Amino acid sequence: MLQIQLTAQLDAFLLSVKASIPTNSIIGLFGASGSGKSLLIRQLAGFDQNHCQNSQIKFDQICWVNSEEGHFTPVQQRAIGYLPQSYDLFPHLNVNQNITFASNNNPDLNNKQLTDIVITALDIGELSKRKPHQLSGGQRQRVALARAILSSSQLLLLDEPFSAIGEDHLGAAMRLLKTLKEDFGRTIIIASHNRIEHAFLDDYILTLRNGSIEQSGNYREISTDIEGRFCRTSNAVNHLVAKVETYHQKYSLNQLSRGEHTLWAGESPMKNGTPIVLEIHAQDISLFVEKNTASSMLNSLPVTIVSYSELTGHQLLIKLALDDDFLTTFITKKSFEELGLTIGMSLYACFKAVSVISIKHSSKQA
Amino acid sequence: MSDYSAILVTLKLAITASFILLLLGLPLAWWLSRPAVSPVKSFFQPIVEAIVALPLVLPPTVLGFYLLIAFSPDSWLGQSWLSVTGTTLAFSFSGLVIGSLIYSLPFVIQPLQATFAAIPESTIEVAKSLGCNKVQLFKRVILPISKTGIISAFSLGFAHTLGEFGVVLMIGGNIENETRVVSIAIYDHVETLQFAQAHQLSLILILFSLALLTILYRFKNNRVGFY
Repeated sequence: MLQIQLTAQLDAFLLSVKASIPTNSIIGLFGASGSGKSLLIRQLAGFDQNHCQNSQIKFDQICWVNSEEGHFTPVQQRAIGYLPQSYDLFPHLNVNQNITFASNNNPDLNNKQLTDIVITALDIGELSKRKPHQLSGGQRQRVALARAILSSSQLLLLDEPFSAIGEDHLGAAMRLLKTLKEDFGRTIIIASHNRIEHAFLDDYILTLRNGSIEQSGNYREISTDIEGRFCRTSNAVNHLVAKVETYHQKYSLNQLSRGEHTLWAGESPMKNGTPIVLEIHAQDISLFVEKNTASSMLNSLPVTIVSYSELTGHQLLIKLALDDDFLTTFITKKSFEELGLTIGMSLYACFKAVSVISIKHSSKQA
Repeated sequence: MSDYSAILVTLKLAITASFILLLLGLPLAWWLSRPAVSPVKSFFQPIVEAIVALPLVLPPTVLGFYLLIAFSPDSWLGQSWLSVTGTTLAFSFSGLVIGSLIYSLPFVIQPLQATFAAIPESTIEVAKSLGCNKVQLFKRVILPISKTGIISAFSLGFAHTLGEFGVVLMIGGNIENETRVVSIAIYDHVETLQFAQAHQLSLILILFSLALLTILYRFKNNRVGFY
């Protein structure tokens, strides 16, 4: 467990956080700019010591901060990896020297297997002899991420780790973090205002607002809590786990199965039996009262209405149950009334195959 | 022959003074370069900065005058020096070194301070998160990043001490092999109308300083700094 009880006054900003988070998991910090995500990460790392009052931080029973007893473990003794938004690569060292920097201070961190995995996943092997000023923004971020990963044996604190990483490398970078959790026992805290990143990575999520925790819990609960801030957005996304059945060459479509239901998704051919996560934006889902076979929407799933909540003047956010999972979508109040929808009613949730984004090789929710 | 000894004394003085200045300057400039977090530091920081900059604005004769008083065997400095070493500070090479330390102080501290101040606080934080203790932080991050700045601070201190005149005149006098430096020798030659020798020494000083500064600026332009 990572136990946090924290009060820190930074100029006019008060950070006040109380949370117990399971370790060996990926924890997302979500919130708007200025909500305190970076400050919380800095406090966990052990910076701004002077500002923290009445605080206690314990990582797996090891006390890092106890302001009553005047105990404060300095950052260099916390076995953390820290990635700030400014990257801060050392300009006098090349890429290879930067990423192996920590193991020169502490030979215990020298792990050839992990180093190889990180270099491959972040695709920085070719850059090893370059100096930071010879790298692009995205390359710098990947190198800084590698350096942070290789400097920690326990806790990784990553502040917007994917903000500059291009699409080509994003999937591999995110999967790397899952590998670190699953195979190397790391606990990873990620600050990001990008819901998609949280959706793919998080086991657990804390949403922050004005320096305080607004919501905390398992990702699945938070992401389908239609009264909560995380869910209440026009960018809300859904994630469904499915399995690849066959690839139809003729249409370039993957036929997928989810329990007894069949789904269709585009993208490149995948091996039969591969578990994948489908990402469906809430705004791409339409609701039908009856099963509609004459439609261009290839995907149709039977759902029941669990709850609904007003999002804006004309819009309702609707939570739908699909077997033991949930989907969210928006409809207008007008449609809601005209279709005579009520809680518990059975419907069909339909969406186009082209609106499905598949995220490969994920163990999330599987 | 006496010109040759003047050159030797000058070089010895400049090297000694700039080395000592670098050793004293590194911690002082580091302290000055970091933002003040405590009220005590924010009170003292500008005072120390002003004291460091003072030799830039004061006439060297003012510095020399007070140093001369401080070096006299009646003062605590002159007295304790006398009891420890058995020699007086005034009109000695050691006295000249102390004078040069003060005279060239801003030329070493200010470039060092600027170099250190250019290192972002977040880079230092990252170094700590990568396991650096204080010694490792300086050895592996701060000093290598500041290499160019350290070299230019040393060179500026060196070059400035070469051209020192007023302070030397006040506290060093004109003792061959001890306190007679090039600038004093030139002054002597001019006073005794030996223009040829004055030319010779002046030219040497000009060429040497020019070469030193050229190397310094070439180096500076090739620096690897923050991108």
